[in-house]
Amino acid sequence: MRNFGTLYRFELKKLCHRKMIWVALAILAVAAVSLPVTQVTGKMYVSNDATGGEDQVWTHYELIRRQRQDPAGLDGRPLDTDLIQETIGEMGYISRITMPVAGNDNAEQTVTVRQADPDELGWTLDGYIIRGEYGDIYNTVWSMVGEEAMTEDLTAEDYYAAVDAERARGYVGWGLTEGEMAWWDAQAAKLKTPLTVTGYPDGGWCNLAETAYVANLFIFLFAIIALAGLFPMERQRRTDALLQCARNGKTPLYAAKFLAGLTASFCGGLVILLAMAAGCLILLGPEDATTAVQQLIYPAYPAPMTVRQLALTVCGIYLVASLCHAAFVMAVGLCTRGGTSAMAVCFGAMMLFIMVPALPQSRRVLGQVWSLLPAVFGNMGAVYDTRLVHIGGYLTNFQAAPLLWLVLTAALAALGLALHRRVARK
Amino acid sequence: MELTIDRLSKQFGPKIAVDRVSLRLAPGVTGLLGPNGAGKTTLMRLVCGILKPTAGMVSFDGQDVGSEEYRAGLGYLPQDFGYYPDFTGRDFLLYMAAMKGLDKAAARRKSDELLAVVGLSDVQKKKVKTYSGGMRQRLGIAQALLNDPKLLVLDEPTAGLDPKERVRFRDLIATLGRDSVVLLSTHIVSDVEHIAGRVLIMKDGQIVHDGAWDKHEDLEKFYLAQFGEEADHA
Repeated sequence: MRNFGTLYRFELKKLCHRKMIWVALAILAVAAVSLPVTQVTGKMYVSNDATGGEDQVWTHYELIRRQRQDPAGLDGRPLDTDLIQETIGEMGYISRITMPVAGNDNAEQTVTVRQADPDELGWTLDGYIIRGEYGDIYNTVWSMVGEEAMTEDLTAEDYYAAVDAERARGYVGWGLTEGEMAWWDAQAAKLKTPLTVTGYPDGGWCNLAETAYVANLFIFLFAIIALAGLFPMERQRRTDALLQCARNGKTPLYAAKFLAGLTASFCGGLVILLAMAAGCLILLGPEDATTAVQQLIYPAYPAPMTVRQLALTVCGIYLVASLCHAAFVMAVGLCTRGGTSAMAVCFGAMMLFIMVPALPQSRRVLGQVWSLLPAVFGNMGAVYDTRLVHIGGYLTNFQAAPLLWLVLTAALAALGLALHRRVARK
Repeated sequence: MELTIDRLSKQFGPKIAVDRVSLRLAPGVTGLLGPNGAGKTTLMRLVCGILKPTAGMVSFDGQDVGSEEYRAGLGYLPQDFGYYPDFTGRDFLLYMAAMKGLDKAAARRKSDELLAVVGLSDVQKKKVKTYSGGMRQRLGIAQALLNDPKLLVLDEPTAGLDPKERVRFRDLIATLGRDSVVLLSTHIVSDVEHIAGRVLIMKDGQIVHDGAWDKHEDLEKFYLAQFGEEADHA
């Protein structure tokens, strides 16, 4: 395509000259960094009624810094019968909390909370963290076997059997076919048991995996701000007549603009994701990198995957999503022929995707298609969703999503070209 | 070399902006006159392929207006064109040269040449947003000439130019008219008087006069006579 490189560079130049894009990117990057920052600001207060002495006050930063040092010494231990029994033993202290019933201010309920005995472990920062570390292990096991089974007779075999049962229930809940169940069982067979525990459950990689969905929305927002007016602005600037009657004013110009738009969205997405990753890993630490998602996210996830792999996978997927977001926004701009109207339509679509994060599981095909949309995909729901996509063989949602989005991007590109090539009626 | 316009019409709702216009334009300068709302700009946009006609066709040497070959030989200066404020004058020409299909070396050479012709060499590295109206108009003229067009469509090209610049531009157009088909629309009758060998007068979407005029006669009077306004002016 003649002069494509020159046209592409000038289209990028036009984008870079727009101050609004840089302002939006800076604000979104700061917002992305601030998400993990909020976890280290603030303080923990422990009243002197419980301590019998002075109030204990720890900053969240102190808490996280100390947590990274694993005072309970649980890091690297296998989640076997010994650890399960040790945890149950440590968690012998029961407290009952009275709290309002949700949605009914006049009613109260008593909730039983089990935790490690603070009188035994002490009212110090270390004591608090040790109680938390055992509490995380306790909750991981309890979520599978139930409160009644948390006794001195519980073994690792019981726990892992409960995990298998939960996994099977999940298959039925998602409406998986026999072939899909067999495929996941083969993946689950590769899981090594007992799991190796991390002593630092709220680390940077886990946080990145959990909050990356927010980065995806930021990327969509950036694409809307940067690209809604990419095509309409030629008409608003009254340069459209000059361009349309030029030799390269049809397909080459469209391709250059489209590619420039994809580039801007991809680079903006990279900045946002790197900002979020930097915030998570620097502030919260990388110590949980090799922890299995089965410990920190969902015990019944039927495949071997570490938290770092999950985090990097979702970040990579969202970089592909940035291309799809860009293509969608540019296509809307070509349809509406106005930057403001295109922004309004895209914001409306974004709100729809946020407010409808999932469709009923009974609608298998429709629900699965919806869950794979770029602005919907993600959050930890993606880990729980074991529906597979049949393209040749079986693909998980993590594998299918980027492939489908690339196809969708190409389809939107073709639509945009057809809209661009139409000669104006007025 | 010939521009053929065959029963060209353009209708916007109930309003017929261009009404069954048929023309054949050979190399030379053709002036297009008419009152506001006569359809001059619409006709020019149809000739440049920016508007889709309701009926009829436009071709240049057998090439349909929608083809890339047609656009390759076309130069157009719109009446009210925009620019990229943060581009320099040189950037703008290089961008338009790339749009018109010139390779890098040819783009640089033609840009330098045309910047000198229109007197913008000294400010070529300044941003277009700092240019005066006349400077922007001259830049617009330069971009129209980048690809040595065989068909040159100019809509109010001398608007905003001072008298000296206007004379220079007239001479330039007259020179170009020797080898190209030039269609020039303007309200400045003296521009047409000096350089156009053929005059089209448009009224209510139709061509009411097509041909030369008696050069011994004042063109302005001749033009007004077409609209029955000679008595008022006298």
